[in-house]
Amino acid sequence: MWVNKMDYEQLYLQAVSEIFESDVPKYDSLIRFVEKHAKPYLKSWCSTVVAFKGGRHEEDILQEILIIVVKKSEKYFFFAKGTSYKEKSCDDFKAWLSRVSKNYFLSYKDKYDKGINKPIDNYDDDSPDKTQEKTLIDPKASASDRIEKRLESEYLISKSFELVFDLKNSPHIILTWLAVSLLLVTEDLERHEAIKLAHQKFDDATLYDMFCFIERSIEELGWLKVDARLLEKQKSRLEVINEENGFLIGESRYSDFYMNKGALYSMSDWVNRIDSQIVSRWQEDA
Amino acid sequence: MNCKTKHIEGEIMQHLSTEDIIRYITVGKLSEEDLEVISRVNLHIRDCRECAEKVEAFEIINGKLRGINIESVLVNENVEEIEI
Repeated sequence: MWVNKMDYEQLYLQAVSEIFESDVPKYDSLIRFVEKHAKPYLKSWCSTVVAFKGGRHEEDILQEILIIVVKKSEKYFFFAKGTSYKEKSCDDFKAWLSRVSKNYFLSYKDKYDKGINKPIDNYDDDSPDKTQEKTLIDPKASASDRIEKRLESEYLISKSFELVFDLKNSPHIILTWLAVSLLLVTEDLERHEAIKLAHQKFDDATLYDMFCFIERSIEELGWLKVDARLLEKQKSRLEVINEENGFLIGESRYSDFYMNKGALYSMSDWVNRIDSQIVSRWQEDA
Repeated sequence: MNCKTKHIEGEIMQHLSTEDIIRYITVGKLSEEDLEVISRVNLHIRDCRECAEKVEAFEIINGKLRGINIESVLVNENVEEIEI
């Protein structure tokens, strides 16, 4: 849709007023502004990449840009470098937004070129070499930076896994976090996508199946080190009889543990619970 | 839950809970609920440096876990021309 300059000005002023002049910040106009301004650029950029045709990537990129702008525009634009939103104009915002959109697009494409931005449900067969190394860091960083940051990321992830393997929450909660996190790391998905994928994978599975997937994935990753005793400890928790049905816990169907609000809600809640415990533990350690 | 309170311009303000911060940094889609969390956290960290720093620290860790460098997306001014 074509939007004239006046429309943009008005929308910008509305966005600023909703964010800064109401009791609680609202982002409706900001989101509309970003959609109107960034969509045509994204469409044209995506149309130049064969693998990005079809709209799926365009939507994913736009969604990420929206989140970044809603969360970060106050710090990085409206109040950037000690300035105030009152000194900024609609054109300033457009320029900043274009830059952020382009940076995000390029980093997304870069990751895609390395074969790690694949969609969940329709992985393009024409995507680049899937055997390429999966990167955990900014591909533009220098070689020594890359190595250092990669080691740092791997260390943090390994530490988180060890911590979770050692928790005493119910096995289905721990297994959910481990499976979702492994999908996040290996498939480079957004969290909600990883939860959705885990749901597809394990809906009909038993807790033993999930454990095997986790064990195998850790082994395949290679760099993810988890103490064998911790793995054994969680495995032994699956060998306890479930008093409700007389079966081993490990033989219970994963879907039997869902709460009334549904599978995705339950899984998301379990992942959040473990996340909170990890962060609390990090805080304690700090 | 963090239930500390502090005084800001005469009012008692409750710090963000760990759950709030985690929800904020892990927003995946802009649902109404997510926007409500973002709005609440953004409003709070305008005045509370302590929570702003905590959010920042958690975001760095989360970014490392997810392999995303949002900072560079936001501050990189040497935008390349898009050549395909």
